[in-house]
Amino acid sequence: MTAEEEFVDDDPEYDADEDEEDDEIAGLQPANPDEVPPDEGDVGQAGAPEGSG
Amino acid sequence: MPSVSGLPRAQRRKARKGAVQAALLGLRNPTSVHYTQDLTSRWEGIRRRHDASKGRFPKHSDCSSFATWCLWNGLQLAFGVDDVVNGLDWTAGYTGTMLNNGRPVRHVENVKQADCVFYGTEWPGKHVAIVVGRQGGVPMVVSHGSEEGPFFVRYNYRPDVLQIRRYI
Repeated sequence: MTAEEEFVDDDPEYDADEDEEDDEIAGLQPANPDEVPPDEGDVGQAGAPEGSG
Repeated sequence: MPSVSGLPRAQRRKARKGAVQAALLGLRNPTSVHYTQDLTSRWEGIRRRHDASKGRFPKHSDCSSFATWCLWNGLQLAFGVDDVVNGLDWTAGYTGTMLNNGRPVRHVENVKQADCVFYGTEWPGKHVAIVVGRQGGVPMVVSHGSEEGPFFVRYNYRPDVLQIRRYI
Protein backbone atom coordinates (compact mmCIF):
# COMPACT_ATOMS: atom_id res chain seq x y z
CA MET A 1 0.00 0.00 0.00
CA THR A 2 1.51 3.27 -1.08
CA ALA A 3 0.33 6.81 -0.64
CA GLU A 4 0.45 7.51 -4.35
CA GLU A 5 -1.58 4.52 -5.58
CA GLU A 6 -4.65 5.41 -7.62
CA PHE A 7 -8.14 4.73 -6.36
CA VAL A 8 -9.97 2.49 -8.80
CA ASP A 9 -13.00 4.77 -8.83
CA ASP A 10 -10.90 7.86 -9.57
CA ASP A 11 -10.01 6.44 -12.98
CA PRO A 12 -11.71 8.42 -15.77
CA GLU A 13 -12.79 5.15 -17.38
CA TYR A 14 -14.41 3.84 -14.21
CA ASP A 15 -17.91 2.48 -14.76
CA ALA A 16 -19.81 2.92 -11.51
CA ASP A 17 -22.87 1.16 -12.92
CA GLU A 18 -21.18 -2.16 -13.61
CA ASP A 19 -23.21 -4.89 -11.88
CA GLU A 20 -25.04 -2.33 -9.82
CA GLU A 21 -28.39 -3.81 -10.67
CA ASP A 22 -28.16 -7.11 -8.83
CA ASP A 23 -26.12 -6.73 -5.68
CA GLU A 24 -29.02 -6.47 -3.23
CA ILE A 25 -28.86 -9.28 -0.67
CA ALA A 26 -32.34 -10.41 0.32
CA GLY A 27 -33.35 -12.90 2.95
CA LEU A 28 -30.31 -12.58 5.18
CA GLN A 29 -30.56 -10.99 8.60
CA PRO A 30 -27.40 -9.12 9.60
CA ALA A 31 -25.80 -9.97 12.90
CA ASN A 32 -26.01 -7.34 15.59
CA PRO A 33 -22.48 -5.92 15.88
CA ASP A 34 -22.86 -5.92 19.66
CA GLU A 35 -23.40 -9.67 19.53
CA VAL A 36 -20.46 -10.46 17.25
CA PRO A 37 -17.50 -11.79 19.25
CA PRO A 38 -14.33 -9.71 18.97
CA ASP A 39 -12.31 -10.58 15.89
CA GLU A 40 -9.19 -12.45 16.85
CA GLY A 41 -7.07 -10.59 14.37
CA ASP A 42 -5.14 -11.83 11.41
CA VAL A 43 -2.25 -14.25 11.40
CA GLY A 44 0.11 -11.39 10.55
CA GLN A 45 3.46 -11.64 8.83
CA ALA A 46 3.62 -15.35 9.59
CA GLY A 47 0.92 -15.77 6.95
CA ALA A 48 3.39 -14.88 4.23
CA PRO A 49 6.67 -16.40 5.39
CA GLU A 50 9.77 -15.27 3.59
CA GLY A 51 10.22 -17.24 0.43
CA SER A 52 6.65 -18.41 0.25
CA GLY A 53 5.12 -18.51 -3.17
CA MET B 1 -13.05 0.57 -17.26
CA PRO B 2 -9.86 -0.39 -15.44
CA SER B 3 -9.67 -4.01 -14.38
CA VAL B 4 -7.52 -5.06 -11.44
CA SER B 5 -7.69 -8.71 -12.41
CA GLY B 6 -7.22 -8.19 -16.14
CA LEU B 7 -10.52 -9.92 -16.84
CA PRO B 8 -12.99 -8.41 -19.31
CA ARG B 9 -16.30 -7.12 -17.99
CA ALA B 10 -18.38 -10.26 -18.50
CA GLN B 11 -15.80 -12.42 -16.73
CA ARG B 12 -15.41 -9.91 -13.91
CA ARG B 13 -19.12 -10.24 -13.29
CA LYS B 14 -18.86 -14.03 -13.11
CA ALA B 15 -15.76 -13.81 -10.92
CA ARG B 16 -17.57 -11.57 -8.44
CA LYS B 17 -20.49 -13.98 -8.33
CA GLY B 18 -18.12 -16.89 -7.76
CA ALA B 19 -16.40 -15.17 -4.86
CA VAL B 20 -19.73 -14.22 -3.29
CA GLN B 21 -21.02 -17.78 -3.72
CA ALA B 22 -18.00 -19.00 -1.77
CA ALA B 23 -18.48 -16.46 1.01
CA LEU B 24 -22.16 -17.31 1.38
CA LEU B 25 -21.36 -21.02 1.45
CA GLY B 26 -19.07 -20.39 4.40
CA LEU B 27 -21.72 -18.24 6.04
CA ARG B 28 -24.24 -21.10 5.82
CA ASN B 29 -21.83 -23.48 7.54
CA PRO B 30 -20.59 -21.67 10.65
CA THR B 31 -20.28 -24.79 12.77
CA SER B 32 -18.09 -26.46 10.13
CA VAL B 33 -15.84 -23.52 9.31
CA HIS B 34 -13.46 -23.29 12.24
CA TYR B 35 -11.27 -20.32 12.97
CA THR B 36 -7.54 -20.97 13.03
CA GLN B 37 -4.29 -19.15 12.46
CA ASP B 38 -2.40 -22.40 12.02
CA LEU B 39 -0.16 -21.78 9.05
CA THR B 40 -0.93 -25.06 7.32
CA SER B 41 -4.61 -25.62 7.95
CA ARG B 42 -5.65 -22.00 7.39
CA TRP B 43 -4.78 -22.40 3.71
CA GLU B 44 -6.53 -25.74 3.14
CA GLY B 45 -9.32 -24.21 1.07
CA ILE B 46 -6.96 -23.33 -1.74
CA ARG B 47 -4.41 -26.08 -1.20
CA ARG B 48 -7.13 -28.73 -1.46
CA ARG B 49 -8.85 -26.79 -4.25
CA HIS B 50 -12.22 -26.61 -2.49
CA ASP B 51 -14.70 -25.57 -5.20
CA ALA B 52 -17.59 -23.61 -3.70
CA SER B 53 -19.72 -24.25 -6.79
CA LYS B 54 -19.63 -27.92 -5.80
CA GLY B 55 -20.46 -27.17 -2.19
CA ARG B 56 -16.91 -27.61 -0.91
CA PHE B 57 -15.40 -25.21 1.60
CA PRO B 58 -12.44 -25.11 4.00
CA LYS B 59 -13.04 -26.41 7.50
CA HIS B 60 -10.30 -24.16 8.87
CA SER B 61 -9.37 -20.60 8.05
CA ASP B 62 -8.81 -17.15 9.45
CA CYS B 63 -10.09 -13.86 8.08
CA SER B 64 -7.53 -13.35 5.32
CA SER B 65 -7.31 -16.97 4.18
CA PHE B 66 -11.12 -17.13 4.04
CA ALA B 67 -11.38 -13.93 1.96
CA THR B 68 -8.55 -15.13 -0.28
CA TRP B 69 -10.23 -18.52 -0.78
CA CYS B 70 -13.44 -16.74 -1.83
CA LEU B 71 -11.54 -14.62 -4.38
CA TRP B 72 -9.55 -17.66 -5.55
CA ASN B 73 -12.85 -19.35 -6.41
CA GLY B 74 -13.90 -16.43 -8.56
CA LEU B 75 -10.53 -15.68 -10.11
CA GLN B 76 -8.18 -18.65 -10.28
CA LEU B 77 -10.56 -21.58 -10.23
CA ALA B 78 -12.96 -20.01 -12.70
CA PHE B 79 -10.59 -18.15 -15.01
CA GLY B 80 -7.03 -19.18 -14.15
CA VAL B 81 -6.08 -15.70 -12.96
CA ASP B 82 -2.70 -15.37 -11.25
CA ASP B 83 -2.57 -14.37 -7.59
CA VAL B 84 -3.61 -10.71 -7.75
CA VAL B 85 -4.76 -10.88 -4.12
CA ASN B 86 -1.55 -11.63 -2.20
CA GLY B 87 1.06 -11.86 -4.98
CA LEU B 88 2.26 -15.21 -3.62
CA ASP B 89 1.06 -17.66 -6.28
CA TRP B 90 -1.98 -18.48 -4.15
CA THR B 91 0.22 -20.26 -1.58
CA ALA B 92 0.10 -17.81 1.34
CA GLY B 93 -0.97 -14.38 2.44
CA TYR B 94 -2.35 -12.17 5.17
CA THR B 95 -3.87 -8.73 5.51
CA GLY B 96 -0.51 -7.06 4.84
CA THR B 97 0.00 -8.78 1.47
CA MET B 98 -3.66 -8.21 0.58
CA LEU B 99 -3.16 -4.50 1.26
CA ASN B 100 -0.11 -4.55 -0.98
CA ASN B 101 -2.16 -5.85 -3.91
CA GLY B 102 -5.37 -4.88 -5.69
CA ARG B 103 -6.51 -1.28 -5.83
CA PRO B 104 -8.28 0.88 -3.26
CA VAL B 105 -11.86 2.07 -3.64
CA ARG B 106 -12.37 5.66 -2.48
CA HIS B 107 -16.16 5.97 -2.28
CA VAL B 108 -18.43 3.58 -0.40
CA GLU B 109 -21.14 4.03 -3.05
CA ASN B 110 -18.75 2.44 -5.56
CA VAL B 111 -18.11 -0.69 -3.52
CA LYS B 112 -18.92 -3.88 -5.42
CA GLN B 113 -19.40 -7.50 -4.53
CA ALA B 114 -16.11 -9.28 -3.74
CA ASP B 115 -14.34 -6.08 -2.70
CA CYS B 116 -12.56 -6.50 0.63
CA VAL B 117 -12.93 -4.27 3.68
CA PHE B 118 -9.86 -3.92 5.90
CA TYR B 119 -9.95 -2.93 9.54
CA GLY B 120 -7.24 -1.46 11.74
CA THR B 121 -5.41 1.82 11.98
CA GLU B 122 -2.47 1.24 9.66
CA TRP B 123 -0.75 -1.32 7.45
CA PRO B 124 -0.77 -4.34 7.79
CA GLY B 125 -4.30 -4.08 9.16
CA LYS B 126 -5.93 -6.24 11.82
CA HIS B 127 -8.88 -7.85 10.03
CA VAL B 128 -10.48 -8.26 6.61
CA ALA B 129 -13.97 -9.18 5.40
CA ILE B 130 -15.45 -9.69 1.93
CA VAL B 131 -18.37 -7.73 0.49
CA VAL B 132 -21.29 -9.92 -0.63
CA GLY B 133 -23.78 -7.22 -1.63
CA ARG B 134 -25.90 -4.43 -0.21
CA GLN B 135 -28.90 -4.03 2.04
CA GLY B 136 -30.64 -0.68 1.83
CA GLY B 137 -27.63 0.66 -0.02
CA VAL B 138 -25.20 -0.34 2.70
CA PRO B 139 -22.39 -2.74 1.72
CA MET B 140 -22.65 -5.99 3.62
CA VAL B 141 -19.74 -8.31 4.36
CA VAL B 142 -19.08 -11.87 5.41
CA SER B 143 -16.52 -11.72 8.19
CA HIS B 144 -14.67 -14.71 9.62
CA GLY B 145 -12.80 -13.42 12.64
CA SER B 146 -13.63 -15.91 15.36
CA GLU B 147 -14.66 -19.50 15.98
CA GLU B 148 -18.30 -18.40 16.08
CA GLY B 149 -18.09 -17.00 12.55
CA PRO B 150 -18.48 -16.40 9.71
CA PHE B 151 -20.94 -13.55 10.29
CA PHE B 152 -23.05 -11.44 7.95
CA VAL B 153 -22.66 -7.83 9.04
CA ARG B 154 -22.60 -4.27 7.77
CA TYR B 155 -19.24 -3.27 6.34
CA ASN B 156 -18.77 -0.78 9.18
CA TYR B 157 -19.70 -3.14 11.99
CA ARG B 158 -16.34 -2.15 13.44
CA PRO B 159 -15.39 1.51 13.84
CA ASP B 160 -11.88 1.06 12.47
CA VAL B 161 -12.48 0.67 8.72
CA LEU B 162 -9.03 1.20 7.24
CA GLN B 163 -9.59 0.71 3.54
CA ILE B 164 -11.67 -1.03 0.89
CA ARG B 165 -9.81 -2.77 -1.93
CA ARG B 166 -10.72 -4.43 -5.22
CA TYR B 167 -9.07 -7.47 -6.75
CA ILE B 168 -11.52 -8.23 -9.56
